[in-house]
Amino acid sequence: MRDSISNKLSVLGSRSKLVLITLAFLLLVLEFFVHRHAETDVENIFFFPALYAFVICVAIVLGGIVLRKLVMRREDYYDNG
Amino acid sequence: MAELFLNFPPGLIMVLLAIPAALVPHHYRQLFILSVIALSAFFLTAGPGVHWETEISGFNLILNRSDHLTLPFAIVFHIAAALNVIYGWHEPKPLEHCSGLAYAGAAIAALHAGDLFSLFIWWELTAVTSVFLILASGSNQAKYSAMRYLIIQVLSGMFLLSGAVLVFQDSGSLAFDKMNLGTVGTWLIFVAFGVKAAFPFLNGWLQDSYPESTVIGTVMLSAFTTKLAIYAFARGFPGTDILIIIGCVMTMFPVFFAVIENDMRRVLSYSLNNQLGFMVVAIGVGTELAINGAVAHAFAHIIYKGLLFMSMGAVLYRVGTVKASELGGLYRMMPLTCIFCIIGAMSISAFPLFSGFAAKSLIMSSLGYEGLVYAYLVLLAASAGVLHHSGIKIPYFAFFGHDGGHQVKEAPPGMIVAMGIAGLLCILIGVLPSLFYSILPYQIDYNPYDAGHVLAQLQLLIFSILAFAFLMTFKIYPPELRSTVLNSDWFYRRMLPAVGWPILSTVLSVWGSFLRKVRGIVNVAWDAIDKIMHSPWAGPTISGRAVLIQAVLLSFLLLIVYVAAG
Repeated sequence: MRDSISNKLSVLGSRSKLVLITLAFLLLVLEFFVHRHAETDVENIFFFPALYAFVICVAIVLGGIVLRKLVMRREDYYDNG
Repeated sequence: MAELFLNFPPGLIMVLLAIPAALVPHHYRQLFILSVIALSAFFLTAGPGVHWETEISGFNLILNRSDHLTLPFAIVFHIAAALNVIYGWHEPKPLEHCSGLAYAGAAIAALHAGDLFSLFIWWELTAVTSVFLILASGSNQAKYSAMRYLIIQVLSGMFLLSGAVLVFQDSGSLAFDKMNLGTVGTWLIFVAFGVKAAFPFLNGWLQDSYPESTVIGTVMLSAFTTKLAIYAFARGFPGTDILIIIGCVMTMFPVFFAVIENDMRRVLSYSLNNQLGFMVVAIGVGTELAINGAVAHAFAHIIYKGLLFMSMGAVLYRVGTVKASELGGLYRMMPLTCIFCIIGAMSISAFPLFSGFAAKSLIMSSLGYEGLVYAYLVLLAASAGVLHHSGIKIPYFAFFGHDGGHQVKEAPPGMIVAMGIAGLLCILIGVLPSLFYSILPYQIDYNPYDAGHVLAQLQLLIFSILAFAFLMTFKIYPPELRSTVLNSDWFYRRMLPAVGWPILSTVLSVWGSFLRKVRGIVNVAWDAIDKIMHSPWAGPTISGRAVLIQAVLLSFLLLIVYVAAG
């Protein structure tokens, strides 16, 4: 029972990635047909929101990993008062 | 009397009836509180204008002022208060319901305060009423957190009061209107607002206390205090440039913490902080479009953030923990909660057709129109960050991800209804933005749904999700670990005691030995005096010391008169 559910889950997981990649591809294709009239100059760069979002998200997570080294303590850090 | 009653500021009735509400038996109490909130909302129909003004010992106090800025905040505060009542229906104990009612009432009344003194009263009352929501947890940890919360909040009130006194001294008026930074008084008020708005490094209290509150308490807390501060900034400091920079830091700084935090309600508290940053930036820009954006964002935010806190509250209620490292796979047991959580997540991430999109677009466009490119890019990055920690992390680790192995029931009906209404509102605002924009302070002609704008937003969102999937697939994403993440409250919880105690004890011991020395000298002096005064010629009937003091005082008086006359 549990196995079949986890099987279904993993199938779903692989499909969600497929859906995601298809969507991403479609949005990039749309860039050729829809004019993103930008509010700032930098947005005129081709694929700007897509590239920016990807880079920023990776940077945030990498930043988080560095931050973890600085500010992460054991769970009971504040427990004694 | 009836006339006075009708002039009451909205919210006051909620504060007044909060204690009587405790006497009403459970289910009836919830109905009673709902009708009190409805009655309070009825006071909003008085329309714009000053409805209650009074003079107390020369101070002109404006107790009820409504205008186009107070109205949207007041509406959403009433909605949030009502949703909280429904959400907490399962809880038979009165403490949270009654303090929640008083807290919401105080916040609503604060919106209608037209002078700094009444604002101060309500400002403090929101602190005092809300602290019970944290105390209601009952744990030792919550008790300490509540005390820290209260100290910080009351401190903010003290800043406000001292600022108000200085402003009154400078201008002769207590009126709460637009101020210009420059005098000590206005700076004090600015800092007072900044504490409640959780400015960078003044934010420790928020992430410290909100997650310590109860299931219902955190939802209540998330709505009022910080948004009251946002209202206060929009009223007092629109167009103040420094707010743009502060807001930019506020949007980015909590994002990193949210990524590594394990407690889901703490993740949401960081993300709340980040959302406040968007509003602060918009207030700093100060144009009509930007102020509309700030107000719209506060409005939408209260609902979707409330919804997210509700969904995590439901998880906490059923599972007993909201630690990401312990959760996962709950979508099978709590499908409705999961769906509502996803609606909240899509709203906060600003997916088109959800409320966050309708609100945030105003702020982004106002930045674009003003040519503030750096702020625009920071906020765009923060938007990607929001999607990352609130939009994906929250639903993914709670409801999907690795299975936590919990066997639980769906959330109780009250919770489901409240989350359902909140979710519906999120979608309504997103689908009918023009109706939503019509309650904003300024009339604007703005359409967020043009093809280019939607495409840009979708690219931003889908590629953020893609980045998450990429990092998960390649195992770069940091695993959820049981941990404590240090935040700015560390400075007063650890550094201050570590540095302060030695200093304080040194000062105290020096002071103590100084006092001992002084006492020694005094004793020697008294002994000498006693010896002289109690000698036979002074007479035994009057205490020698009293005579001596009188003699000294009289000589002193003589000296003063002599100097004055000369």
